[in-house]
Amino acid sequence: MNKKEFMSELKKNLKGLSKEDREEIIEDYGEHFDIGKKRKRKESEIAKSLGKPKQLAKQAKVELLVSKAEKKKSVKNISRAIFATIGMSFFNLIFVVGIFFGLLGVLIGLFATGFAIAVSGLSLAVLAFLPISLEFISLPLVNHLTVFFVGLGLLCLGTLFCIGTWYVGKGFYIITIKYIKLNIRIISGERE
Amino acid sequence: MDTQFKKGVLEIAVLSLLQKKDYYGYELVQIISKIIEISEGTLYPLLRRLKKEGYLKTYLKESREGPSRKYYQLTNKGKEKGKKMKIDWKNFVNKIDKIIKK
Repeated sequence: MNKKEFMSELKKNLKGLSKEDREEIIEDYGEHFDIGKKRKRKESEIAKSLGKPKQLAKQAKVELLVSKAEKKKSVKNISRAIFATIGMSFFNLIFVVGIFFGLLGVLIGLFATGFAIAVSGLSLAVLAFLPISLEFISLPLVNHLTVFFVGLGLLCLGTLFCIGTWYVGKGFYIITIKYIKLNIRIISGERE
Repeated sequence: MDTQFKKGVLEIAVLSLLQKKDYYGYELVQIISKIIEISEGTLYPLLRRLKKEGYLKTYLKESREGPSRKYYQLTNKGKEKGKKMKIDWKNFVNKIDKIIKK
């Protein structure tokens, strides 16, 4: 493989990265070739000692996507990081993807529950102020004041529930990143 | 040498070398790959990561040989990290030595 072949294979596998990152990676290896050639090394020999361009590109891609997911927390970023890592063919991770999306579903469900409790509480509290009969609540000793406080209580409960879920979600995000990083280390370790 | 072992050591090697002077990528790769057996391409992802994490910065400098080269320089954060890793490494080696000599 000569420099041209190496670089085109590298470029081909860097798709999906920002222009800036792509250029930096291409420049790094381009410079390595140029200096090597000045030192009377053959292009094919330099290419061989650098390693496989496809693997180098994938490794660079995963590391960049993970650091992006770490800096800017979003479901999109972390999903891209996960799929890029799978691209490096690590089967353990495919198994993990199922768990990841399962837990994501649970989190969304918990959020919805908290939200529903809060909304029902709010509507009860508002209801207490309306000049309507409360006969439809077929419990003894129900008056407007109790309805108001029950509503207020539910509103607080629902809000706390959402806040709690938020923190659980954050922890979940951090653990996911740690897990991916661990996998990258294992993968790139094996590929050397 | 075990590959996982190598990965950890590479970071210490880079941060220690750069304490003394600034190097360009090719030079770093040559020095390190003479001592630790790695494919030369693997050092660049590490350098890029260390830069992204704020331990290194880079600048371009002309060379007599031809086009300008990218030099790597430690930031203050990088210098601190390098010193800490050196201490950790020495402690670790001492402990392992004790086990080996038993």
